[in-house]
Amino acid sequence: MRPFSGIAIVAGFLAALACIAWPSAHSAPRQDSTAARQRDQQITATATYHTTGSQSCSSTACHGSLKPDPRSLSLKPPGDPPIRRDEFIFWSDHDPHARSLATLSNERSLAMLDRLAGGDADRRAKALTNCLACHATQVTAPSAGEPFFEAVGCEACHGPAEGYRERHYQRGWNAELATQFGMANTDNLTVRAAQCATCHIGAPDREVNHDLIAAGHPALKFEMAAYYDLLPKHWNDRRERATTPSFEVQLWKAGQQATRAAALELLEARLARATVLEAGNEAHAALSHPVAPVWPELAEYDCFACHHDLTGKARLWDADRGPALPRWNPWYFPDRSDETLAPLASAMSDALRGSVAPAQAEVRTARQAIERMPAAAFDPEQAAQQWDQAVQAYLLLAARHRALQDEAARGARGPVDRQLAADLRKLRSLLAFPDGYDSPRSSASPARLAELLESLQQRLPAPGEN
Amino acid sequence: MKAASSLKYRSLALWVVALALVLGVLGRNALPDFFATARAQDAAQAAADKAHDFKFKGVQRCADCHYRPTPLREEAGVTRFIPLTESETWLKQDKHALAFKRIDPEQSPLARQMVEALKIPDIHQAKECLSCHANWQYDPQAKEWAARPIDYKLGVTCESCHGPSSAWDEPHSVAEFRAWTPEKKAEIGMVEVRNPAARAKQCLACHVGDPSQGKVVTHEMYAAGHPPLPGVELETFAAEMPPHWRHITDKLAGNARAFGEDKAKFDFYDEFVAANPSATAGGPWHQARGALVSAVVSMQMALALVGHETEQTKQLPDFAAFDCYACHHDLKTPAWRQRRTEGNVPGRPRPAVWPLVLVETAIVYAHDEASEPLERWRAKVDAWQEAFDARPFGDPQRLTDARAALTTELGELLAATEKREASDERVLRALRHLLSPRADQTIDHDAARQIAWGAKILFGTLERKPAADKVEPIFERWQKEFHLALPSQQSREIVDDLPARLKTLAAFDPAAFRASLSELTELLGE
Repeated sequence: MRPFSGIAIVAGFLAALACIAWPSAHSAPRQDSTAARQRDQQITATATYHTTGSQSCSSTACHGSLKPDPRSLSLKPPGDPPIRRDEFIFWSDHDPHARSLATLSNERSLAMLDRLAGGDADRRAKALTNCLACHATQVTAPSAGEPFFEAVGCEACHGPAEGYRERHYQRGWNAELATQFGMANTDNLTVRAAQCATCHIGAPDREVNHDLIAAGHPALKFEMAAYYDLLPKHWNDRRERATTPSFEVQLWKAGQQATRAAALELLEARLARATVLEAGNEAHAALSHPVAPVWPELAEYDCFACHHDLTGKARLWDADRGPALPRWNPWYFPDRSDETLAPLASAMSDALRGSVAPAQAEVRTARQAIERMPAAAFDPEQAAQQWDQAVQAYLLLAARHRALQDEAARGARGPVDRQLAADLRKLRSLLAFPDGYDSPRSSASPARLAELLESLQQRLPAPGEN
Repeated sequence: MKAASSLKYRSLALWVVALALVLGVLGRNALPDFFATARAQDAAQAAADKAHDFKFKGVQRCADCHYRPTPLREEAGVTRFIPLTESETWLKQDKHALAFKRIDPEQSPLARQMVEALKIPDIHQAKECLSCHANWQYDPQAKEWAARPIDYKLGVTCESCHGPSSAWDEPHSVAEFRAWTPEKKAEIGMVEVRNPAARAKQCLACHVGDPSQGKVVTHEMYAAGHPPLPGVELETFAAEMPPHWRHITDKLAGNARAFGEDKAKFDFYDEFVAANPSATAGGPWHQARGALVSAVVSMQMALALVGHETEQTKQLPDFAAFDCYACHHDLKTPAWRQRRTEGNVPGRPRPAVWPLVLVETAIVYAHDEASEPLERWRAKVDAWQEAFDARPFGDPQRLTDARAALTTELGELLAATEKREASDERVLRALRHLLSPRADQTIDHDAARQIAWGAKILFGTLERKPAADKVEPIFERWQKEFHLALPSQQSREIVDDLPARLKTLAAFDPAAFRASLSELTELLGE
């Protein structure tokens, strides 16, 4: 046999090998098209996608780059900033959500679990299920092996990646395909807020109720613009700030819309479970579990209507001495003059001591009525009467202030008056809990607060119309 | 001839008249009474009428005699039995006389605030207030309110505690009345206030509450400004009224000092002691006995408060039946409320803890070393607590069952405590138990005050006081540390005392209190 032919055979073999192996070395393997098409069809047919895990997004060529793309950091236009490419690393290092699972094993959480469930293994398991629903993402894709839990990662906000992971970087990817393959439209501010609300307010399958709070969980009081401001961001939002007039206020409004909807959905679920109790169902006979029926659900009401000591100091729990029952949900529904919610508020007061049926009927009506955007304004006198109302007013003012600062940064207006920031800080200090306490003991009188709120509202007017 | 016969007839007539007169005078008692039956029936009817229709005559009637003794009465020895200055003490020093003043919007700013908040149209017709503040009576059988007391502006008066006096006003004002038994007195409407259980029922109907008499402070009233009702230890409270009565041993001692040994005993003394066992029950330890009996009655009345209105309705109990401070505390993490016992469901309001404190002491006093009654009691209390764990504000069915079980237990305990013969040993054993609560027993400020007051009373009655020189200073310290002093009598106002008490309450640390208790337990030995 001639050596040349031997070499040719080897070379040909190697070439063939290379042709086969080369695509696998590529970071996005392409299997043969028939199989891919079949898989596509299978996935769209079921339309529920598995989670593949944050680490599945984290290859260095995708979202796990060791250094951010410098073009993505620019604060100045023109053009859309490209993505950072190091989102996974940034999230790991800076985002508090990355620590959410680890929190469950700290001292405070373990003590909480003891208080909630004692030594009963069954109750502990049930309690943990509720904890994990928010504090973790369960990775369920078969390709990932056995299901496991990771912290609140990419898919908690962006949607389960099984459908879109291998598609979203392809040419021709658009919003329609994104929806089809399970990617959440986080460009839309209301969708963004709704994603946050799933955990930060709760959902029918997950909640922080009064049992949990009494066991040691912080009470959930979420407001979108404030939380957004605090979050270390793995994206550059300068373009949307530039193109959305009063982005911060829009964010606030989107937040109000999403959180109100989520709060009512959660209330509806709670009331539905409460009717189980009224029917005498033995499900409640055992000591309560976090998502088992509990009524009255005290977390639906004003915390500080009850939780203030009786030493009679000046009071921010409620200066308006109404009937001796706590008000329903002053945090997400601070506007007492809102006519659409008055029947529900009244039914919820009655539900504290009696039947939940009227409240159930009212919440359904309210969920439709709530589509209408709430007014981005407040009445200083009314807001100053009660802590939650006052704080929501403060947060709206803070959002307006940040909107002004955005405009100034872009050069669209002159520098913002320093006194505004000082006064906002003053207001905040009047509302903040004193050291060591989780309830307001402020000595600020409602009159003083109303004065400050009025003055700030005048200097920070609502931008444009709703 | 005619003249002689008329004279004869005249003298005959005179003899007949004279005889008739004599017989009439003497024979009234000798002849049979043809109307006896009818009269007896009338009397029985009158008594029966009185039984259901005793009237309140008003404090002015009592003060006729009981304000100041007349020389005649002093000479007759009445003041060796009672001082006859009761009305004066009550009017000038006792807070009860001010009970209406305190709720009159024209005399009290707090009352004005409350009347506005509760939208009370006329305080003079406000039954829900005057039921306690002036003893306006409600008849639970007839389900109707009696007429307003004529002396309502003088607050809680004599008859509020001693009973309506229309039927005993006359009988009680003679010395022979001292020989009447309490049962006989009860038939004509007099309450036996010497009996600690009966007295406790009278006092605590207002000071804890009695729904059957319309005596309830609702949560709405508290929200409007009514001062929160404190835990009550009856012997301590009664001692500060000030008392317008004396215990029999003090009567004898006082008489001996004032009038000499031979006049120490008042008239009908032996009959009195024989007819009134409560007067001498407990001997030197009568205050300890009184405290424990009152504690059992406190618990009975506190039990009746929770969910009394939910037996008929489907509603949850009024918040006022629960421990105020279970909710009304500022939030801190970590906090002693969170460090409470395991097995409790967090976040569930419970009724006040303080009534439970002295009940266990009573069990130990009544049953000595027997552990079975104590365990039985604790098991029933656990079942009751579980009714509150099952559901916020209590599971109605479990509550009813648990309450029935506890009521039975308390009835038996009351009888046993009353019957039990007191002794230094028994009181000391009970005291030791009081001072060593279980680790999983919740102790809040009101419960701590019960322990402190109870301990002082029990220790005070001991003939042989172990380590008194060390124990008394601890009691002194507690006085300030835990705000034990009561704003009693007319000189101290409750609303003025309230800020300091509530501040101490908010800052209360059970761990510090338990450390004190351990200190005391060591001093009292085994």
